[in-house]
Amino acid sequence: MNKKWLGTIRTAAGILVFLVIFAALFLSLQNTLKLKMGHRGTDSVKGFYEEEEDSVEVLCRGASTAWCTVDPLVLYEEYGIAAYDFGSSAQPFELTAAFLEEAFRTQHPKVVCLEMLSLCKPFEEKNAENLNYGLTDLRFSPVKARRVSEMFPQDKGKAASYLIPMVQYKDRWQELEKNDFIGEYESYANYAKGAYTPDKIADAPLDFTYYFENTDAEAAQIPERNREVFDRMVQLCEENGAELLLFKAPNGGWTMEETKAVEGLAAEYGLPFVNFFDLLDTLQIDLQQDFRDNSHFNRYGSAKASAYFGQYLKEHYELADYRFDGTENSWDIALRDRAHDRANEALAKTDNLAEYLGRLSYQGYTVIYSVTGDTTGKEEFLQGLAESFGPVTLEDMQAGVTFAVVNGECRPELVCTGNQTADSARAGSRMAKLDLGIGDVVELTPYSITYDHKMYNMVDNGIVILVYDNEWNRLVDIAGFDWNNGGACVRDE
Amino acid sequence: MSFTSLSFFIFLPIVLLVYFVIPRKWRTGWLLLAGLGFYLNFHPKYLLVIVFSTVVSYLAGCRLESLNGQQENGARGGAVDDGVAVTTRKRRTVLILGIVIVTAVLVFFKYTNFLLGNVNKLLGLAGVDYSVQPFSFVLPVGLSYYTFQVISYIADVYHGKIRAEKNFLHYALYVSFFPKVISGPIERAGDFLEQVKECHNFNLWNAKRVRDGIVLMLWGYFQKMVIADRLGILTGQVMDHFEVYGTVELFVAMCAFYLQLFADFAGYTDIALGLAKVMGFSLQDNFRSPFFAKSIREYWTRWHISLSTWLRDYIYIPLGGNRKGKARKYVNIVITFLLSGLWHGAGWNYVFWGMLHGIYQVAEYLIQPVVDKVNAAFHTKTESFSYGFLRTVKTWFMVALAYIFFKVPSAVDGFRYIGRMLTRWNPWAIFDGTLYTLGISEKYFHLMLWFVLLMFVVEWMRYRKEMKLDVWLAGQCVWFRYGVMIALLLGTIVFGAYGPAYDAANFLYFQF
Repeated sequence: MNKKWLGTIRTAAGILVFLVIFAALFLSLQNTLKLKMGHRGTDSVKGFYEEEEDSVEVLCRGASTAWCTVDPLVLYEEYGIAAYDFGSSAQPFELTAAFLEEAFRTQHPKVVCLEMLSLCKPFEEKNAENLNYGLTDLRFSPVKARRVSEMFPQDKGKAASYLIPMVQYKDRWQELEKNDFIGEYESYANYAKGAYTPDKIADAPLDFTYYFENTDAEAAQIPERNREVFDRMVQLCEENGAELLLFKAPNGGWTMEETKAVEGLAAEYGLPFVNFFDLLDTLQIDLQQDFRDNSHFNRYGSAKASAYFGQYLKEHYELADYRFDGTENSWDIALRDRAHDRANEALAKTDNLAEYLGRLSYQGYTVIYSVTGDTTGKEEFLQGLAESFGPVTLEDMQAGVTFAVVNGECRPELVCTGNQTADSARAGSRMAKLDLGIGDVVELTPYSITYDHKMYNMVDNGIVILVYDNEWNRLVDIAGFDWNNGGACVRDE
Repeated sequence: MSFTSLSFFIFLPIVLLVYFVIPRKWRTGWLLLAGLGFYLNFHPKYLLVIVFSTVVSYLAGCRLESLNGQQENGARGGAVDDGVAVTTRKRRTVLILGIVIVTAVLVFFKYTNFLLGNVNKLLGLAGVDYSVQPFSFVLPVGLSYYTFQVISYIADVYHGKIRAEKNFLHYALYVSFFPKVISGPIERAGDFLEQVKECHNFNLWNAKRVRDGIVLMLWGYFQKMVIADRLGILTGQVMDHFEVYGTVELFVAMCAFYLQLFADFAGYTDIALGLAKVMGFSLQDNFRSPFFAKSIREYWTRWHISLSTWLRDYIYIPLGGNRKGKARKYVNIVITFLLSGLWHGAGWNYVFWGMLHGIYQVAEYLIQPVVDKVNAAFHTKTESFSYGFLRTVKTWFMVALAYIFFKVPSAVDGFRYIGRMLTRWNPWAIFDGTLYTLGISEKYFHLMLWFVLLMFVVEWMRYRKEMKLDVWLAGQCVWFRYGVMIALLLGTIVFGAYGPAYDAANFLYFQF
């Protein structure tokens, strides 16, 4: 090989190495800078990609009203339906169509349930936030490129900014935090299967009187673009052998005119339409207890709606029951994870110390106790606590001890006490550090716990408990119980 | 299609790819086509303007060449004086006609509304209730630059410095070479046409040259998109509403505008030079560390060099330069800089800015003997670093002060700005966080200080070693070299002021 060729190969190799290093750094930076949308987009979208190919039989599409209404785990638990909510917050109709196309690349659901919130809302280019919820984590593909390009026919620069998240999020370097670097989860598998059903209860009952009184309403105008998009979705479903089911979750602001528009469209295309406005009485929906705000069902409302919806699906479509087929599928795992999460959630909402201690699990958790103030009258309780965890003594308890129990075990080096007469193994031990997980260091000192650079000593006389989920690398709760105040629970906002 | 636009990032790889793979003989044609396409993207109908100027100057060059030949033949053949005189007259006529026609185009598009505005003001002052409606057209991009190029070409052919270019394609490429057509450098025909003729012999597959060109481009983009455009947010906020700010903000904005202007124009120039280098061409540099100039005179040998040398060669020297006595020299300097101001923009603020630089220079000449005497009296060590440093700082602030007139809408506003900066004393604004409310966040503000420092370091290196970043980097180890390139690239991507959250910022010198 002559010198010229060697030089050429060396140059080509250099360029290749340069491009690979640049691409790796760029993608890693982009990933760090991207806003983590949580339930508004990231959880559902990234979770969707974690699903096994061709495993979803019912795909639920739409904005927040969709994934706050249909809870796939209720559908699975009660009817064995393998469903997923693939959506993002305030999703424009055009994006809903793009999501559907994306979904068909890996899944071939039998039923596609389309929530119609955005049908009559024109596409607004200015509303970048709503597009980002959905587009940020949607994988780059020719389909995505084409659809985004169609959304901005006049402004290719803007279209490009949605295809390359770095452009949207580069200025976030100013607000980066730990989670941006380590990622919130080890896996993006979504145990909620795209749903978001918190147990928050609306401040005031919803009032849909305006909706039901408007009986003479005429159908609202459907923007031309949305009509085209809807037509495309119908075609897509036909091409992929999926049946399209329209539904509308109750939300404040939705009008009878819009319902008429959906009904008209459903009739025109011969599609079924489930309108939850008409089912409020049947499902015994409580207009306060079953909503978390003016537009979304909470856990309780969603459970009622999903139970009905599952039954409807079972009755109208041939869907398999995956519950008892002998293998553990991702919905089974999701149910287990949900139970885990609900247990954590319940603990973090418990205000009574006895009940709190009763709920505490030790395996898979790190629990840190910090006893402060005057322990007179609490000796029995503290004696019990001390006996549970070997190296800690009642004497320690009376001297502002802070100690950690990791997976049910308390080690001497994780006991910090102000008691200088404690046994020699710990004599003078005034501080200990414990590495809880990636970048999560907790500092134990007599009378206080410091976590994430913040000192927790919320009560002068009582006990502070920190609970960390070792399996999920997540802080579950930090609660203080104030003996001066009858054991009242204190939590930092 | 600005260098920072999405369309340019699509246009450029296509142009380069084709340029690198097509047969050598087609290179000139392809670059010309690319140049016209690039220009067409701005405002299609103004393509006619550049074509008109190109054709007129080309024909003038050809005619002058032919007359030069006749004159030489006449002189050699001992022709009668009348014949030579007629030829000389004809040559002069062609020269003047050529320059007047191309200049008329510039004047029409750039100064008509300025002139009409002044006429209307005069009519108003005279109490005449009549005003002439201004024209509604935009200035063809790059007009000031390519007009100066073609004027220099005609003049150089007239003076016999260069031979007229016979190949129209070559000549058209000289005028419309896309890296420089919009904002220069104002290339001289002699240097550039030689390269165009040799274009088919370029060894394009020279990795070192391509890499150096890319380094220059990356540094140019970094200066433009990270430093200039970010500073532009601050200067826009403060200088566009200077009536509500105090001394500290106005002073910071004044300094920031000078930095912005440099980062913007030097950034553009580095992109142009780098791009030309990638394609095998060499353009003259426009900047040689102007921040470190110790006098205004020196500043003009370092700032926008292609313009200042053009003004020297085609205005100052023809006016008599320094050959006709001191008084005339000073007048010539002021006239040259007045025209420089007018070239930059059709407004009295630009004229005043130019005049100020003329006055600065005349003052430097006049004061110099006094300064020398004072230095001698105080035994000032004029060779010391500190003395040089103080002179540099003085020059820096004089230049920055003059640039206020560049930014504000009128000369009167410039004076108001300075007046406010001197009288609205608010030193607490340095400490109370006011500086972080001027359009850029606290973190960006601090980051900008580091980036400006980086720019100064690069310029200092240039000043001390006469070495541009690409040349310096070429001497470093491979890991560092490519590390810097990746850092510049990622730095521009992450910290650049572009994307949906920003208004697209064009290069400041596009408007001239």
